[in-house]
Amino acid sequence: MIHWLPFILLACVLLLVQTTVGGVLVFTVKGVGGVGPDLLAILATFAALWARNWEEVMLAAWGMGFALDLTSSGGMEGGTALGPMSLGYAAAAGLVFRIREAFFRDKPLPQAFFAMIFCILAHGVYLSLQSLLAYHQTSWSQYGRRLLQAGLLAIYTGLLMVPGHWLLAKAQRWLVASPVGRAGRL
Amino acid sequence: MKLLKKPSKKAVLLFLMGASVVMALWGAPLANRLRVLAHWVLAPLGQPGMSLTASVKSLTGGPEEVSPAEAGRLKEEVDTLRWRAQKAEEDLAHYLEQDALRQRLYGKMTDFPCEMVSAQVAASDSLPYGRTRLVNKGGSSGAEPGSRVVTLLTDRSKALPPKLATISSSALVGRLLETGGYYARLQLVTDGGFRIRARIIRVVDPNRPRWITVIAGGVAAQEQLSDRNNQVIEVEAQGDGVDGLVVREVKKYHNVQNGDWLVTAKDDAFLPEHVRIGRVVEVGDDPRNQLFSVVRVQPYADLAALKDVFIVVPLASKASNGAAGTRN
Repeated sequence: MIHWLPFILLACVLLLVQTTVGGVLVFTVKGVGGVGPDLLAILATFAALWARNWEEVMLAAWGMGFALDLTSSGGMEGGTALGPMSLGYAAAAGLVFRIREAFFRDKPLPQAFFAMIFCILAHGVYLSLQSLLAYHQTSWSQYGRRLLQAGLLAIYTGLLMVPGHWLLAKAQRWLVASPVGRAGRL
Repeated sequence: MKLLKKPSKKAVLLFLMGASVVMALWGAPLANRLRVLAHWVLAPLGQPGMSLTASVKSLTGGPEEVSPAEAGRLKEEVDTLRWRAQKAEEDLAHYLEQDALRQRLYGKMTDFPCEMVSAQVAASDSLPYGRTRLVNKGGSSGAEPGSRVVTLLTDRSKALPPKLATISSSALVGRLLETGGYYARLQLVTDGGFRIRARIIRVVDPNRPRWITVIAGGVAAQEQLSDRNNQVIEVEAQGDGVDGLVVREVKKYHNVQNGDWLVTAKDDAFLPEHVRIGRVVEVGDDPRNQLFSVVRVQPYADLAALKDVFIVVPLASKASNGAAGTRN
């Protein structure tokens, strides 16, 4: 079970960090664009790895995706549409929840892998839907460049997932109750 | 009573997913309205963080390293320019004093027909695909979607003469995408969705003469570029989504070169003045048409360390809004 109040508070803090001081973590790759970590994806992946109920995981991920949708509008001439990131987040969280038993999710490497998979799927859905919705102003080269940007973002987030997961595990009892998994430990 | 039963999590999830699809299909108009609500939460909390980010970026994003010899030459140049600036400031102060007196006695007041509303950057995009910023001024200050946003590049430790001088040292940083009562979303010039009608001004440099094709009376002739034949080139520029702007379909015979300026068009409804956008850094062939070039422009303002900006509100539009408000 997810403890909603602390979970939402932490998500809000992460969103605030991502939209403000998170800019320090962003670097520009020539010809690709800005690459920075998706901090909310770390929290969403953590929930998908350890929460007991898949509906709660997807609801939490939907909320975080919607928050990202609300706080990002650049890239298209009149602004981007709302919805694609919430769909992407919910779908990615559902997938991670489904496949988590196949890996040793208490080990750092699988955790980084899960965060990468999460980001690739969520951001892939987001970029594909946004490009589809504004197909008249998106070229294939632009779409490819943004997918490459998403791939680099996924690697970056995957690397940050290891310390991120370690920190979240410390606060686990306030975020996710009754953890499941091997011997019920994190 | 059964109708009031608490919905299951599955039902809530399905409803939310459906809502996402509807919102996505609805598109930007609904999104921009809802985002204005999010500004109220994000903007007041975000400003200290953005100040910190801007400070760090301004430290790390400095100019490229120069050789000691080049540094010495630049230092000499800076000293000379500083001396000249000081002289010019004294001359200007004298001139302004004289001019103010003349204006008071005989002149009709003329000015830049816009109000500069100062604003601060409160937050940036949560995703790296767009280049937008949240600023802490909105509709209540007269800003509206489309309003141009500039940054001033003057040395603030010195007293500035009135408005005209400050305008001459500013650069365009973007336009407003959506505006709420007290907050607005600024789309930077480098954003993939940013488009603007602009002009390229070729720099006449006697040390680097260039030949252009001039068409007069239906006859084309090669001439050396000079102040006499240096006409502005009308273009449409768009952000490249990374760190610059791209200008397509620039006729090759204009012979645009690195170092030329991209400026705003004076007949722009939102910014009726030439304001610098950036400098040409690359001129390449257009793969679709050999008669055209593709020009890459680097923004003049340091967008990574953007903190203080000015929203340009044309006085005519403010007056008409005020009149409309009175009518309502």
